[in-house]
Amino acid sequence: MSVESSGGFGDAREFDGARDLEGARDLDEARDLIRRLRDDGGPELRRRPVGSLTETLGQVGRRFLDPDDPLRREALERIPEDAGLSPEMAEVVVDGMARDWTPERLEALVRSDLPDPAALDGPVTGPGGDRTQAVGDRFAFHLASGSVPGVGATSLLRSLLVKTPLLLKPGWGDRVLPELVARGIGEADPALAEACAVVYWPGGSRPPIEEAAFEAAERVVVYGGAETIRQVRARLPADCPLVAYGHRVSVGLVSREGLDADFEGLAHAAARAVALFDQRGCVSPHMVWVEEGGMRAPAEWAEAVAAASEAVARELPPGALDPTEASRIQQVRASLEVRAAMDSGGPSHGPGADADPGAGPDRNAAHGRNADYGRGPAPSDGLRLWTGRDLAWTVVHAPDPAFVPSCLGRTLRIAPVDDLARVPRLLAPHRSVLQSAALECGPDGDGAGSRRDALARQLAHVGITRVTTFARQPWPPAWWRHDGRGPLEVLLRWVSMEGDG
Amino acid sequence: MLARDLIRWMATSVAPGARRDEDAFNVLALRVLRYQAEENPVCRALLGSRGLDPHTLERWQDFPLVPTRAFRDFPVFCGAPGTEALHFLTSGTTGGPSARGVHRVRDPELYRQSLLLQGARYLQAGSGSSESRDSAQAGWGAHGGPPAPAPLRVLALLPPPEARPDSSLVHMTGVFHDTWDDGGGGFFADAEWALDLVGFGRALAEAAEAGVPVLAAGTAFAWVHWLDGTDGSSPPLPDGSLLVETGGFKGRSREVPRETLYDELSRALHLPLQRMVNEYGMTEMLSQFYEPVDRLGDVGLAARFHEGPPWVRTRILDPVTLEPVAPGEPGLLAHLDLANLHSASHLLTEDLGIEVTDLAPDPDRPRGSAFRLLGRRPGAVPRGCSLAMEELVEARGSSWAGRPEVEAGSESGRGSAPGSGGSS
Repeated sequence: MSVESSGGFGDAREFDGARDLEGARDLDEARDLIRRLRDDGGPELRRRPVGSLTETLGQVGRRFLDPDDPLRREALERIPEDAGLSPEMAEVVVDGMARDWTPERLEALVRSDLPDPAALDGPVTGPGGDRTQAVGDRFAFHLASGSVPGVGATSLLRSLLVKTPLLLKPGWGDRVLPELVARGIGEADPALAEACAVVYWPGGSRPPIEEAAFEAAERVVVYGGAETIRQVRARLPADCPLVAYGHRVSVGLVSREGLDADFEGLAHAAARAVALFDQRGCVSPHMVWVEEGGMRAPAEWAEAVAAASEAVARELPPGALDPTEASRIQQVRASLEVRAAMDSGGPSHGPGADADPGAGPDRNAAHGRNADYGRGPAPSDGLRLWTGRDLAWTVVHAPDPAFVPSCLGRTLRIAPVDDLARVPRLLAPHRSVLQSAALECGPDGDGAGSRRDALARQLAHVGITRVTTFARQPWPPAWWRHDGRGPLEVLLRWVSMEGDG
Repeated sequence: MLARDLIRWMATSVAPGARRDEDAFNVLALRVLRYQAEENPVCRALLGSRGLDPHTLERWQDFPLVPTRAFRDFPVFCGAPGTEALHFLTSGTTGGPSARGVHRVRDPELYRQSLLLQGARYLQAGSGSSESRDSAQAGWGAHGGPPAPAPLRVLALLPPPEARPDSSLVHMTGVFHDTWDDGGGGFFADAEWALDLVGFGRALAEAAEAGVPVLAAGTAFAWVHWLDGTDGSSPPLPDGSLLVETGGFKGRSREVPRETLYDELSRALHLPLQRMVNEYGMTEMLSQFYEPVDRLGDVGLAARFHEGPPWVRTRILDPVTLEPVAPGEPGLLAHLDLANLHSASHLLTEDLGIEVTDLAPDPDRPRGSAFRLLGRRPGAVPRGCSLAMEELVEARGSSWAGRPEVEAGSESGRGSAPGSGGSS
């Protein structure tokens, strides 16, 4: 439980979480720490033009891409244990996250939300000729739960870009990157580091620092499940804006043209999108619909995704499952096994099938507890199950196209559908939690009038906020309108300055 | 035939001086599991899927585990759905109303024997002297005619069985009431689980006045509500009284740590902590687990553990490999419950537990039959920012493998370990 603090908490250094909290066990002391963030760090932040902020912060972010940089090396060393990811996965995640923390990407982010970034530095000419200025808060409190590395650090950078000092409580599995980013800022610009602090404490423990942060926050940003968001909301005064990033589900859609154009490539990209973050990301697909009528059946594609999942698992091994995650997968797998066996009306292992369901370590995992993988033709429209050894991954081909969220742990449900245009209706009931849809429609592109364009519009109507491809699905760009809203815009107030006109 | 043999075996197994014979148990278990392999489509499907022949499997452990989730998705029943005598619904803790599981019970008498034989060992045993325990058990004949030990008053903060026939918890308490109550007890909640706190308080006072020991039953949330509503004027309960708490807050009351709940109850009811017992049961099982408070003495709540009856075997399995864990390692609880004769006996639960290794175990008890629950987090939010299956299933009632068979109403069953109010 190592935490890093900087800015208002003194020099960048590591301490034991308990000791750190002890440092602010007393509410007065906690208030004082936050006052220093606000009153010492805030002016430092506001003194800097936004261009200098993107440059300074971007240079810190870029360090995570440099293989020789000690910050990156420390991140790669510590993230696997902290986040429960394999070292291989940790590296891919750091690469993908830090790609968006460079000066160029941060500037693009600012420009995306503020066409005239100078509005962050002072009044600029706005609509109708009046002047307008974008103003951050004197202090914001960011709380994250969960363990997708990079979420907290990105939140921290966003706040600093709008010149709002912040206290970040990272998720328990995302403590390393925010700590290291804060340390990097301290090394690059110690005065700037006075404006941010990263302190971890277990959710629900309600230390004085949390109370002081809620008291002082002019805006609260929270990442977490419905219950977490409800609890945070209940603690806020009516006039304190809450920016809530709730849990989301993402999906995939493959048209018959898409299937025909790149059968294997899409299978691999889908398997990888599922595997990234061990499917814990809001961007991770839960289910993919595949359109019938192409040269090959959706079930064949599911089989290709299974094979690709095994390949991806070798390249990016899964982290350890916690018992609850493993239990969910066991329950779902066994229920599916029952359904598959009932549907096929008899033993689904062909003659000569190994009676031992637990695949040995040397066996091709895709042949493990597996209804019919590689055992000759099976009814292509039936329920089929492919599983990796030790719960590494699970692919299901299910004839029922109803949307079913995944039990996660790299579990993907693939359903055939006669027309992809049916899918938006299947998603519509889940509107409030939908996020990214990978939409693969082949070589025709997504120009106006294309099939992809038409489907994307339908998806937009039912609540999807990001239409993408499997390859890009894990990595929304820095300027992504996060869950439908500009990530900086939601942290700002606009001030209108009207004259005589 | 099998049912009769089973009932006889169960009664014998709890008789004083009964010796444990694992070989005989295995023979009986194989009969049960082979019967289920023939008659239960879920068991048949799992065996078939794995290419297993039930007649060549020689150890009960080698039969496939049926996931408790299967009770939601399939008729886990030896016979045509609809031919059952009773059916119980699991609670909504792991899914929305349409995602509730169904446990169909063909043989209510077998269920009754299981409830009473096990209940008598843990709920009645301490209500008198050790002699009365022995005599109580000695009095149980081959056909399980319940004895009439010391008079007892069963007071339940639960709806009456006729109001909630789909709740296994209510059914269990109903059986205790029908069998053991001296005529003065009753149920103090309506069909919607609204509690009659005034009536319950009056009943407690009457029992105290009459000097009749009370068996007071309720869920953790009911006990919290009772504490919140009581004015603290309950008279001391007669010696031999016992409180049984069946776990599960289910978001229906303030959540209270177990230590706090028991301390407050102890003060309010003038009952020592050793007279408060957690029952761990699940709708999917017709047998129950209790804390052996008589033998545990005052070890403290955290050190307590649960035991099942002799016709249950519990194993603690690695959640990933489903192989037994090393002693003292946590894992998923898998139970073999022979009382589940006409449904499925070999169950994989979602509950986490750990084998008891620190207290002197009963030498007659097979390994793993005493365990500490580590609770269960069926709705535990996954570690990332992706929506939990349960979060969405809860809202929309979709299911991985299922074709929900029952569109059920509100609260009734139970499906959870004694969650935050229980032993976790």
